[in-house]
Amino acid sequence: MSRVHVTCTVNGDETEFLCDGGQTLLNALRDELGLTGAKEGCGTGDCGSCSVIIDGRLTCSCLVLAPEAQGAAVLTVEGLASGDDLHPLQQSFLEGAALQCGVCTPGILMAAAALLDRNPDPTETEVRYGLAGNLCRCTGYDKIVRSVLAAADSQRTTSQRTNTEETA
Amino acid sequence: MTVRVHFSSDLRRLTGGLTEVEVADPGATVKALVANLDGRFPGLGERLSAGTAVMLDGEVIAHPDYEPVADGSEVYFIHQPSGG
Amino acid sequence: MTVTESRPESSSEPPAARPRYRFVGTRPVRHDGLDKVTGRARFAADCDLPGQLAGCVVRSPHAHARIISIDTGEAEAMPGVKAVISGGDFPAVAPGDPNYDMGVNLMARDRVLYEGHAVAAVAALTTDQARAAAAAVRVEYEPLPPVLTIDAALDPAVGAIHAHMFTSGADPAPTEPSNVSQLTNFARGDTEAGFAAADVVIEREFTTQPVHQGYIEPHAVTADASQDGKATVWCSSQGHFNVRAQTAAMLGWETARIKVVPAEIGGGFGGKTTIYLEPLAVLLSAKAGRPVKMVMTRSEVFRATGPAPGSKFRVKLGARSDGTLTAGKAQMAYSSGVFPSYAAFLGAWTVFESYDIADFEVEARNVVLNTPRSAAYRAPSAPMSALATETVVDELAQALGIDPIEMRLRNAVSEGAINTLGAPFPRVGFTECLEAIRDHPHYGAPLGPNQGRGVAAGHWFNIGESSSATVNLNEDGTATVVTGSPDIGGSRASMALMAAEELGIDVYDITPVVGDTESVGFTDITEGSRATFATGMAVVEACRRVVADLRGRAAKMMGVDVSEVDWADGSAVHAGGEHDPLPLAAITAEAKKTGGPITVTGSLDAKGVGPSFAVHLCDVEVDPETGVVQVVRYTAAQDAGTAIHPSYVEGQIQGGAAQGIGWALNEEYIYDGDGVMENPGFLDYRVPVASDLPMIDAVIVEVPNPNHPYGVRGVGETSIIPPLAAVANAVAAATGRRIRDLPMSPVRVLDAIVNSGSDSTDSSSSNG
Repeated sequence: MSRVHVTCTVNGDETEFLCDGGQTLLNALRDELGLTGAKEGCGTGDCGSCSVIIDGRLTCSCLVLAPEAQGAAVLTVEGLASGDDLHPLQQSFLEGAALQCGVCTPGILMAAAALLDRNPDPTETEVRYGLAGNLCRCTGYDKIVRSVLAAADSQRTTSQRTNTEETA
Repeated sequence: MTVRVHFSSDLRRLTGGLTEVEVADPGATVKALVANLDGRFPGLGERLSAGTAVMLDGEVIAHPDYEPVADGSEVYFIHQPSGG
Repeated sequence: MTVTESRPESSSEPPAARPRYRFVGTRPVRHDGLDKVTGRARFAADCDLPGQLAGCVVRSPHAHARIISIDTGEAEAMPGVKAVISGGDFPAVAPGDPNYDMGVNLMARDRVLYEGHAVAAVAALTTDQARAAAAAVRVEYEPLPPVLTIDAALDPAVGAIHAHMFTSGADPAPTEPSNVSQLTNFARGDTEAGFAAADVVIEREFTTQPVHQGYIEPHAVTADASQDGKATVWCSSQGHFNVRAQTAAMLGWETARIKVVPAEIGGGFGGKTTIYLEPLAVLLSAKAGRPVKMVMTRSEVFRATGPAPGSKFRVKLGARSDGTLTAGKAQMAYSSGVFPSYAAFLGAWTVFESYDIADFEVEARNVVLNTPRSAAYRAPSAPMSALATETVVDELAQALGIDPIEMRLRNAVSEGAINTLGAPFPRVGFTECLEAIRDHPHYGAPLGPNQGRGVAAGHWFNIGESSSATVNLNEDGTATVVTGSPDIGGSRASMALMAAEELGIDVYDITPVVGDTESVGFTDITEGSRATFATGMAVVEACRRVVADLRGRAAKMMGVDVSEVDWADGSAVHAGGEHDPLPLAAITAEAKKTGGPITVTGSLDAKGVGPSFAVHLCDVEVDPETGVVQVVRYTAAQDAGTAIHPSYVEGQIQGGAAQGIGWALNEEYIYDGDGVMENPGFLDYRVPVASDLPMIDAVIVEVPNPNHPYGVRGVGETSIIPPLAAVANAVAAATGRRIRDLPMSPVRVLDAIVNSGSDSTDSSSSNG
């Protein structure tokens, strides 16, 4: 069986890989690129633990064929931090004890990042609906929701400060 | 030396309906006590050796065979729960 | 990267009387947290070996069938296929062998016993090849009638699934096999007299369906069997020593031939206390001469791994007009899937355990069905028994016009109360939990239209078992704490906190790790809420011996007798004050000159376990048009003994509550008439999502366990017990209808609202 050559951007890096035509993007990320942060919890798009952001859009990578990533920009949990600086969500999840086993955490972080990108000041209800596609069986979501709200707060504070500095 | 022994009610059919007995010469350990009880209530020893815990003077001990018993000890033969 | 310690506002300040700790009770960022927010943490399916094959299991489409033949010829000839195994490749097991149930469950022998039962397994170069080959294994079946309900299993006219199974605990011993595997009877006093003394007697029936633990990480394993007859197994489990023992037993191997390396575990909740894939992967690897990786699909997880039992109860309680419970009677049945379990026994033990009831009779039956073998799920059997008792207690309170918390306070067990087994309770915190809920602002808060409030309690024993911990001091004064307990909810942080407290060094100078089966002493499964309790005790014991060693080294360095050296705040201190204190790092730096490396292993079988209680308070809003129940406010109080890391204690409370809410409202195994599971996926088996739940206010009550160095009781399980009844009582308050068959799905709730509900079919009587 001939393999498909795919060129895309993964976490900011120009990336090429070979995959089978029927291979999911999730499997390509994990098996071809060694990015095992995205997990397969169900394989049917119901649990969200494979969530990645493709061209700015939150996506279950188990429902996307790898060749569909041709030319796309894919962001996975491995690309969420900027070098040594954790994303505010990562920091708030650590401080807020928003994870127990941690297997859903990469997907939830991506869903939360996508939410904050389009809504930097979400209400609790908006956070809950924003994360409704991601199952967590350990936490009861309480500390996750609080941590997303805390991250939104800190992100807004930071950007306000930056804006003030820029205008000053 | 005398110890007081208590049985959970599901063991009654092996103890002739008793849930509590005094044992005058119990031996030095829970294991010896069980042997003593088995002499009095045949079949009880086998049952008590299979996954039975004791509460000895207020402390639950899951594997009590070599646990010493003292004069006046209160020994409760209970069950070892499992968990998730 | 910055990792900062955060101390969010605690929902419960420790009582003033508690000893002041420097580390215990603080909320440091967990040591394994960074790897888990950056995708670096390696779970079971993240392990890959060079040259590995992909394994796939062939599963039965029938709930019950005789296997006429298995033809693997076509599969073996397919491209990429390197090994095929079936039941005949495993050591034979005979009925009555201790390993029979697990052996047959692992791989069917002459019969398949539930839909999804493994009949063969294949290893091939790729997953696609393995799946194609699995589909090409030809199995000829002769279907047999399946036993699918508790009622059918209890019917003597229905044939026994296992010809060798005779009800244990029955008197006289039965002469015919049956589907009732075990009978438990507990009794005290004169139940009839107790009911006669009651002013109100209420008797109700309850049913619950099997539910799955629902861990997000499917079972996965990579095994590498080498030519010298040994094998290394990478997998996630709640106990890798148990995986080693069970895998060895299933293969007929000596224990030392198997090494199990624990991966990060993506949830277990009791479901990963047993094995499914490991011996298959080892055998396939041995046969193929290459590593083999096997990962279950979600459908396989549902169809072939551990649901919690379904149940059917009839529970009767009597109370005097002042609220005193006088008598209880429970007839209970639990279905443990295709093999026996202790489910009924644990149900019988728990059903009246929370209350001081003078006279009671409990009869519990464990039945087997042609459904997957059940596994432990967080406080096994107790959520169902609490549903029954806590609902009837609620109805009694209502009938007597007594506040539901007050009703429970009047009957709550406390130290010295005699439990179901006849033994006295040690110090417990049930009353304190009830008071915490009664005094919480939530309890008196106003409710909106279509809303109702419910309260319920729960109790769990917690367990001790064996644990080992090795403390290695490093040359620079940092330390590594190695335990054998898989960390399923933040236990590494707790181990580090206790070690920091003992050694007096910073919690981040301690690296807590989970060692493999060849790197740390034997440790039982992380179950029964035991890790922080029992493994914590092993850590403390090891640290105390390390400190004794450090004092001796310091005495040598100071040139004084060890009796003159104390340990305080991480330093050896000369009692006379003639020598400057020696910090731990100064002693480890000189270790070579004072006796060599400083390393100590603490191993123990933990005694003195402390039972735990919880009380939950739930507000629901019921949509009268659709029957949808939304939980709008939830508060849960639980006695932790001492919270080592309060954030993760809260997390356990919140997580258990959410699972219990799912159990109450949505989750259930649904079978068709042939015993085929109809909802083996998260779309149709609906676990709670973020938008289904409110914040869950976790109130930590601390009544220290006197038998633990820091007062720990264990917190993992109790939180799942009260929610079923708390939600049911809230729904009853909102709708005026009692729903006693779970789940309280919209259809069922709407039916109860539209029709008259089930109250009329049950008996409720007033004496005198």
